[in-house]
Amino acid sequence: MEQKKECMQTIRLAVVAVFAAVAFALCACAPSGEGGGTSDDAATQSANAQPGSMMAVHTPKQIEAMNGDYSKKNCLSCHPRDSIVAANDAYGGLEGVNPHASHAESYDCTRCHSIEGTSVLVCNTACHGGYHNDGNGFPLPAEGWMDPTDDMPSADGTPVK
Amino acid sequence: MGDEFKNKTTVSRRGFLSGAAVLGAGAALAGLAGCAGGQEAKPSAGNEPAQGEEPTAKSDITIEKYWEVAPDPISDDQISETIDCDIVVCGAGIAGLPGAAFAAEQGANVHVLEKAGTWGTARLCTCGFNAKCQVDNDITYDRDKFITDVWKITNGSQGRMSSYGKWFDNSAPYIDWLQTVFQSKGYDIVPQQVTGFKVTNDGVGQVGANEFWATYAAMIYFVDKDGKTLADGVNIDWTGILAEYAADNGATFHYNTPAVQLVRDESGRAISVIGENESGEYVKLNASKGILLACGDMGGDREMMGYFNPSLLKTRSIAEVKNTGDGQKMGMWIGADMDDFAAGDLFPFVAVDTNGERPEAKDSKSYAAVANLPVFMVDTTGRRLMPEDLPFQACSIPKITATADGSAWSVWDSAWQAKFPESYPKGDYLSMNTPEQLEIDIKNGITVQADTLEELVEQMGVDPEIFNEQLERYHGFCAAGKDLDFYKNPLWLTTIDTPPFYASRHVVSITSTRGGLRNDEHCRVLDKEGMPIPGLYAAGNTAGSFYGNVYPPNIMGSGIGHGQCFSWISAKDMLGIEYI
Repeated sequence: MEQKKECMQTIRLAVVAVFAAVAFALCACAPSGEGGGTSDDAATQSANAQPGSMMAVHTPKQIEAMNGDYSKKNCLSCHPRDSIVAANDAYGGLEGVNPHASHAESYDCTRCHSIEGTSVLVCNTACHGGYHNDGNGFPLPAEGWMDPTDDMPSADGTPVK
Repeated sequence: MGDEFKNKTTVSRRGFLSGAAVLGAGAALAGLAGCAGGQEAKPSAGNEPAQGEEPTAKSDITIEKYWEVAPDPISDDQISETIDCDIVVCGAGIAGLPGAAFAAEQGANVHVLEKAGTWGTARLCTCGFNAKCQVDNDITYDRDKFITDVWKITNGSQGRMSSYGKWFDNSAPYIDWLQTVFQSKGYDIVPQQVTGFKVTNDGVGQVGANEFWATYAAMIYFVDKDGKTLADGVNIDWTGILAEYAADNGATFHYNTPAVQLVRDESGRAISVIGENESGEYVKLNASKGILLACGDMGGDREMMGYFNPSLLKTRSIAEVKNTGDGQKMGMWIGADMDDFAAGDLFPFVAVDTNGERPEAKDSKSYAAVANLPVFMVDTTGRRLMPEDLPFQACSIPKITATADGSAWSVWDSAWQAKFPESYPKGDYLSMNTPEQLEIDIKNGITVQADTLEELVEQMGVDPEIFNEQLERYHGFCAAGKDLDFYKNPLWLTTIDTPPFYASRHVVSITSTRGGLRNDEHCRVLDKEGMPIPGLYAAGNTAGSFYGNVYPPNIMGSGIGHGQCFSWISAKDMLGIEYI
C-alpha cells in the first residue's frame, strides 16, 4: 500500500507534464496544407477556447477542415491510433494505464474530448473512481477536464456504464 | 441492435416467465448495471403480469431473441484487406491468449482480433490441479473426490459432466507450460497455499466455515521479477506478458478490431473471420487450421443475459461492459448451438445504504465491516436466507439473488467481538472487520445503529412480524446449539441481544456470465444437431457445456482455469498435437 501511495503521488506530479506532451503530440500530428496548423495559428486560436476542449488544441483552420465531421475515422486520419497510444503511454506515470489503449472498446473520441465544451475523463466512472488513486480515480489530464457526473456522464452526453 | 434484427420465438411459460416481464425487469434494473449506481430494483418487475393485463396463454408468449438473428453477410466487395493465416483467435483476453501464445510458439501463423484497445485485464489468478508448482510444494488433489464434489454442487446436469475431468486432467500440463512461459520472461507462478494469501473468505481453514461443501482453493498466483505476488500487493500484468510472448513468437494482434462475422464454406467448415477496424473497414482473415472464439461473456448485453438467467438481472455492475456476447452471437449466426442456461461469477455482500445506493465516501470499503461475516442475514421482508457461513460466493446465487430485490441485510449486536469465534476474519482487500471501520460505515450511512430492535427494524424497513418471528426462531437455534433451518456451524450461532444493534444492507455484483456455445471434448463448437462445426472452437466465457446455471462457488478460479486450459487444448487440436 505504501508503494501504491508513493506511486500515486508521482502520478499527480506527472500528469500535467503528460497532458502537455499529449497536446503537443496531437498538434504535431495535424496535417499540413488546408486546415493544417502553424505555430502562429496555435498561438492565437485558443484565446477564447474552453481549456481542455478540442478548440483549445486545434487551430480554427484545423477545426474548419473537419467540416463538422468529428467521427472517430476523421479524427484518426490526422491522429493515427499508434501516435495517440504512444502519447498516452503510462498515463499519469502509471505503467500499463493508457486511456487510448484501454480494456474498453474503442469509444468515439468526442465521448471524452469535447469540441468546445468541457472534456470528461470517462474512465473515472464509479468503477475506476473507487479503485484507483485512493478513490479519486485517475488524474485528470489538465485544466478544463472533469470527472463524469450524473448530469454530464461524458463529453457528448453518452453514459459509459 | 436495430429493429431489423428482432426475432420472435415462441416458448412455453414453463420455460420462461414472459418476454415482457424480463424486458420490464431489464428496464427496471438498467440503472443498476451502471457502476455509478442507479435506481433500486422494484419487486413488482418480477413474474406477474402488469396490472390490467390478462394472463398470457402458454403458447402465445414470444421472446425477441434478437441475438440469434444474423445480420446481412458482409460481401467480398466490402472487404478492404484479406489475410491468409493458420489460426485466428477472436479475443486477446484471459482465454484467448494461451491458445494464441501456444499456437504461435508451435510455429503457426496466428492472428488475434480484439475489440478493445489492448489485451484483457489481468485478473487475480489462474487455477489448476497437480501442476509441478503445486506438487513440488506437496500440494495435491484427488481427481475422484474433486469430480464428485463438484457434481454434488452443480447437480452434474446442465453442463457436460465430463468437462470437469477434462479440465482436471489437462490443467497440470497446461499450468506447467504456462510456468515455462513466465519463467522464460523472468517471472514465475506460485500456488495460493505457498503465499498464504486469501483473495477473500474462501472458507478453507476458516473458523466455523461450513463443511456442507468441500472447497478447492487451487488458485495459482503470478510472481514478479522480484518474487512479489498478490500477498505483497503485486499482481503483474500477466495477460500483457502472455500477449508479448505470443507476439515474440510471431502472432499478429489487431486491437480495436472486433470480430463481427464468421464465414462457413460449402462443406460447412468455418473458414474465415471478418473483423471491423475502428475506421469502419472490414478485414477478412482466412484460417486454414481453425478459429477460436474467446470473446468473453455476455454481461454487457443485459437482455441477453437476463434471458439465460433472470436472477442475474438483480446483480449490479459488470467487469467488462464491452463483452456483449459477440462470440456467442457470431457462432449462433452460423448455426452453432447455445447453452440453455447461464451462470454468473458473483460477489455478494457489496455494501449499499438503506436506499440501495453504493457509498461515495472514500473511506468506505466494498464490504461493510462485520456485515460480510456469518451473522444473522435476512431479506428485505425480514426472512432468514441461508447458512451464512457458506464460502462467500455461495451466498450470492441463488441465495441473495433469489430475494425479491436482490439485496439482504446483515444484523448483529454490539457484543459481536466477544461472541464471534476467536480467529474470525479481520478483513481482506474488500473488507475491514474492525470497530473503527464500523464507525466509519455508520457515519457514511452504510450501517444503521439503534438502541432497540424495534428501532432497528424500523430503520431497515423490514416487516416487524416476520423479522421478530425469524429472530426468535434463530435465537432458539442459538440456545440449542443447532441450526435446524440451515445447519450453520454453531460457532457462528451468535445471539442479537446486546444494544446498540447494527444492520447493514448489501447486494451482489457480477464479474461475468458463465454460459455460451455448446462444445465437445475437443472444444469444437457444436451445431444444433450436436455435431461439431469443423474449424470452429470456443473457450472461456464464450464457451458453454461447462457450468449450466450453477457456478460452483467452492472452486476458486474455475473460470480462468478451465477457460485458459481449454484455449490451450483448442490450439493443440487445431495443430494436431496430442493432449489428454
